[in-house]
Amino acid sequence: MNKNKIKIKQICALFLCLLPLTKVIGAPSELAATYGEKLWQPVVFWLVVELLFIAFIFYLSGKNEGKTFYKILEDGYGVWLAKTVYFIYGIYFLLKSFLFIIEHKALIETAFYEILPSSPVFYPLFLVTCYTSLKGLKTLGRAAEFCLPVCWGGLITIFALSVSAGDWNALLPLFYGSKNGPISLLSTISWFGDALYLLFFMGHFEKEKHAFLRTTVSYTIPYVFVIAFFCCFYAVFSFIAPSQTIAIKETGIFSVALQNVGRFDYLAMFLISLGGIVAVSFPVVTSVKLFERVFGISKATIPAIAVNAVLLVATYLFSQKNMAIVGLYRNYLSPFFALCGFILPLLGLRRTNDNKKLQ
Amino acid sequence: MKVSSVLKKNVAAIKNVLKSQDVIYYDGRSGKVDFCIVYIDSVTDKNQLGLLLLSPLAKNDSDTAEECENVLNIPNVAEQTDLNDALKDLLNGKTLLFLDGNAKALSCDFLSYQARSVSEPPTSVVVKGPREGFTESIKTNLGLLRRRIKVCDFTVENTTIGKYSQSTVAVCYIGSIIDMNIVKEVKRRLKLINIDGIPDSSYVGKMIVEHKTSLFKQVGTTEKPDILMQKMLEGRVGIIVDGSPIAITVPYMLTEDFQSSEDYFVNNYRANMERGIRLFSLFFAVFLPALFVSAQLFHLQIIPLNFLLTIVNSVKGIPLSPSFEMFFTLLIFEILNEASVRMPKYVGMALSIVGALVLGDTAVKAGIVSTPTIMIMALSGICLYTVPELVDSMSVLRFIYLIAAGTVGGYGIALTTAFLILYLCSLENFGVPFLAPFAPSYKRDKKDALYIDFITKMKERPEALRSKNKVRQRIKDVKE
Repeated sequence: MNKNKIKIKQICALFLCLLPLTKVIGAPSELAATYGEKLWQPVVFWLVVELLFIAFIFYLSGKNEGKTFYKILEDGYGVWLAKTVYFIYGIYFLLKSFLFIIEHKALIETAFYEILPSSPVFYPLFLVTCYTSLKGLKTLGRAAEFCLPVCWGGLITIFALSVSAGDWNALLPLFYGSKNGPISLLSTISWFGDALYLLFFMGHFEKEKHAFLRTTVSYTIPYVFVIAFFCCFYAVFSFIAPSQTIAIKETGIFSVALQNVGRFDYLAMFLISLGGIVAVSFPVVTSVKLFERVFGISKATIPAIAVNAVLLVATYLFSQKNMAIVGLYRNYLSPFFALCGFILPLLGLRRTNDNKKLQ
Repeated sequence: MKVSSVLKKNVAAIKNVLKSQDVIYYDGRSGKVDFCIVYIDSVTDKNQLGLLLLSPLAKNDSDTAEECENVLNIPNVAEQTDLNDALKDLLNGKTLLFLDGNAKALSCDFLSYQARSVSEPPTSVVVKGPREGFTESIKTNLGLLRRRIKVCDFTVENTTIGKYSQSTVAVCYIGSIIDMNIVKEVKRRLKLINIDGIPDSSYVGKMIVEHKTSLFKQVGTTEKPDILMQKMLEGRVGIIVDGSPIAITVPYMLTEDFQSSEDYFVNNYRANMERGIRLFSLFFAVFLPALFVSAQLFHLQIIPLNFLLTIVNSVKGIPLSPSFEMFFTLLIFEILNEASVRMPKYVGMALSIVGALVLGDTAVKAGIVSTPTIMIMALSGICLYTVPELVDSMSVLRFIYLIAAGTVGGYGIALTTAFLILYLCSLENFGVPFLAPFAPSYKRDKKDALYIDFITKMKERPEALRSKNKVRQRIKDVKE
């Protein structure tokens, strides 16, 4: 089987799985610290931007039918630039996965253990991500399809438990009084910009009916959930929201239902963590695939081991420095994320010789 | 080597190769022609031999071999001009007739093996529905199948596997339904098998799959012709091996084992309830011991307070850690299980007493294991057998989960599950995804997966099997 052939419905499943899970752990408290009761505004902003970006990718895909982004770059600028761009993106996805891994680790440690467990408890995750890297996008797409009801079951349970516990007046005023400008919006890019994955799916999926519509809908649904969850989070915690660093873990525990039947929100956390493992694998696999192409390695074994080893070492070294890492991403890495997210994809617009001949 | 026209030469050649004493050489004279009948005593029906071969030859007074041949009226006969082919037939249980002056051997089918009669297979007992089961005879099995599928498209292709056993393997399919690429691939893989002998179809099943080291079975198996027919009608290939009462079906998907033949015969609501019970039971069987151990070790909050107090009281004074305690009891269960299968039936009663009373009750009273652990073990053990086809893999998986839960806790369970999902998603059998219709998702096929829709609504064959003929039924409403 072609390990990297993927269907539109699997891309949709990946987005539906990845998007909410990467945004409900660390982002709510960070955005609450910057935006207060308007923490949902950056989400709306990024949703609009990314929908435009998806439209751009479908335009690009239509113009260069069957071609991967690498092939477009290679045809337009030559092998070396294509390799350089892919290398930059490899680093980008490595960084993106690291942020999520750190958040995921914090969630696991605080939600599942009474006292802080020893670090090796978390490390088998890298065996799973390494295995997924070897298996390719097709397996990941199928796993996302399978995990979809599981992780949404968990998310909806937590959301349902917290809805009644919130004071929704805390979100008022909805639109007035925001003092944050575009620079602070840009600093939140680390949690967003997931539409970029589509750029690297180009050439791996076949033309299907309503592909654009299905992709945008599957992109919008999780964002709508994220907005609702952010609002709920702020409604529950109000001005102490910035100190609730693991939002999804804290949000549901004040439900009256839990006092009667025990902490069944734990079961939801199990489901979320299961979905989280698949979601973590997504940027890791993408990074491995990009490095595979850069170094011209036909088998993914070496890049898979290398990427996962780097992530493991980084997690080991910086595992207790979550705040500093988030600060690093927001203050220093956001321009790099913006460059990868919005500038480099424009390289795909250059007319290649093939296009010129066709016209 | 060609068959000679000189009778003595042929007989001498066979005697030279076949020195076994159960090979009978019957020499005689029919009219003016000498003949020799060669057969294997243990596998030949002597009544038929006498009636159809010896009797006409004895009454005959012909002068030539050709005339002798003409008096014979045997329904299943083949002419062999090559002595090696004739020998092969003989070893397959056929009777050879050599006539002096005739440079060929007549290979007559008077085959008669001692075979078990058709009965209900113990592994798939049903309350409602057909009770016939396959036997060890391939002829009987094909007959059972032929009785159910009466179309020209129903094709049986025989092949021989096993250097010494020379077992007949029949590849069965319905030409107008099956994706012929699957048939081609099955035949290609069967050709690749080079082995001394095939004692059972499971050998063939293990050899034709892509993932030979997988914990999960990769081919479907059934002992019932009605199930095999149903699977072939969905677009699968059936493989029947001579000497085995278990037929193989490929491609195989995991959901097949949750489908019982009875689901389609009983009331739809009841069938759905049973299927749900099977799914939940399997979940309990695999996860319950692990969840209980991880809850005890790492996540006490998950257990409701009253239940927690009961557990605390019962584990007080237990010397073993929760994970070791569960591991120990599950191991005892597996030992009892293994012993009860191998043990003669009359010792079974004693085993039940020793297992249930001595080991269970006394262990609790002695304070070695706690009551909840015994309960969880018993529940998990019973639940596992609601899906008998998956017992092999799930019992191993239960231990893996237990180790993960005992060492890493709930996250260990999540990690193992994620790994399992990714692994299962990567599996394909004959190009059909193992986790279909869930990963990848086939909406149409979900009508007979987690739940079972009304039979009248299952109008198409499973999409995952890529059948040529997609429509299974065209139902007109009786009210029309």
